[in-house]
Amino acid sequence: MTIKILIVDDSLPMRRVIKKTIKASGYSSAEFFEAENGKIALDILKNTWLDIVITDYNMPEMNGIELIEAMKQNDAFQSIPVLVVTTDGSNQKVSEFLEKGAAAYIKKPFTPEAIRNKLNNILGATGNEKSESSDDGLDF
Amino acid sequence: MKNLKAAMMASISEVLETMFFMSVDFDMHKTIKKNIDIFQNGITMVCRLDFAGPFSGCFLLIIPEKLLADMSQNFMGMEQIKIKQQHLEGTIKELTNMIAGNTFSTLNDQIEFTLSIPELIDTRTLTSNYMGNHEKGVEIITETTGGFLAVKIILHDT
Repeated sequence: MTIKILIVDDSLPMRRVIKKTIKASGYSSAEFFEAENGKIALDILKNTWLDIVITDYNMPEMNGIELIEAMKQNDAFQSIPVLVVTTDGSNQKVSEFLEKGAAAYIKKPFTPEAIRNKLNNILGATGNEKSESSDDGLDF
Repeated sequence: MKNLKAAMMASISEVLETMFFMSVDFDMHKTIKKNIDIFQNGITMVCRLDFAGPFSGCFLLIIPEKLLADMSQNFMGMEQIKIKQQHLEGTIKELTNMIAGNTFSTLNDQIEFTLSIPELIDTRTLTSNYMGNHEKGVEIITETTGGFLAVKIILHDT
C-alpha cells in the first residue's frame, strides 16, 4: 500500500528536505502532496485521503496550530495523525501542539533519524507499514 | 547579553552542522560594520525576522549569494545549476527562522517568543538602517567552509 503524505510548509527548500529525508528513511514509494500553508492543506485534505500530515507551525494565512484545530473539527480528517516540524521549541508551544491533537513534534534543525523514528512510531501505530527496510541507516 | 550571544553561537553551529553539513568557526573580534567589505564584495542577501517576547527586536542574517548557493545545494541536494532565485530566497528565510527559533529555545525553553515570517530586505539599506552606533544587540561573524556569514540581533528599547 502506498503511503500518502502531505507536507505543509511555506518554505519550498524545507518541503524538499523533508521529502528527501522521508524517501531516504524507507518510504521511497510514498506519494507526496505539498501545501504552502494550512488553508491549501485543507483543500488537499478535502480531495485526498492521506495517511499523515507533516506541518510547520509558523506560516502565513493559516499556521500549523490552526490547521490542527480545523482538522480535529472535521470528522473526515480528525483521525489523520499530524506531525509538527517546527523551529519553536518552547515548552509552552510544544504542550500546545500536543493538546490540540498533534501526534508528535520535531524541532528544527532535525536529523534524518529524528524524522524516521517519529514516522515509524506514528505510522506503525496507525497500522501502516514502510515500503522497504531502513534499518541500515540513511543514504543521501 | 552574554547568554544571548552564547545561545546564538550554539544555534548557528547546530543549524549549520545538522542541516547544511558545514563546520563553523566564530571570530569574536570582527564586527560587521568594520568588515562590511566581506559582505559587499559581490551580491549579498539579507533576511530579517522580527521577534517579540520578554524582550523584542529583530534578527538579521547576512550571506553572500555565492555561499548561499552552496548552502542551498547542500540543503536540498540539488545540482547548483538547478538552483534558482526562489531556492536561494527560501533557503535564507528558512535558515533565519531556524537560527532564531533555536537561539530562543537554547536561551530558555520555558519562555515563549513570537516569531514573524522572515522577509528579505534591500541590502543597500543594511548600513544606514541596521548598523547604527547606538543599537543595543549582539552580532556574530561566522566563518564556514564556504565563506563568511553574519547574524545580528537588534534589541528594541522596552
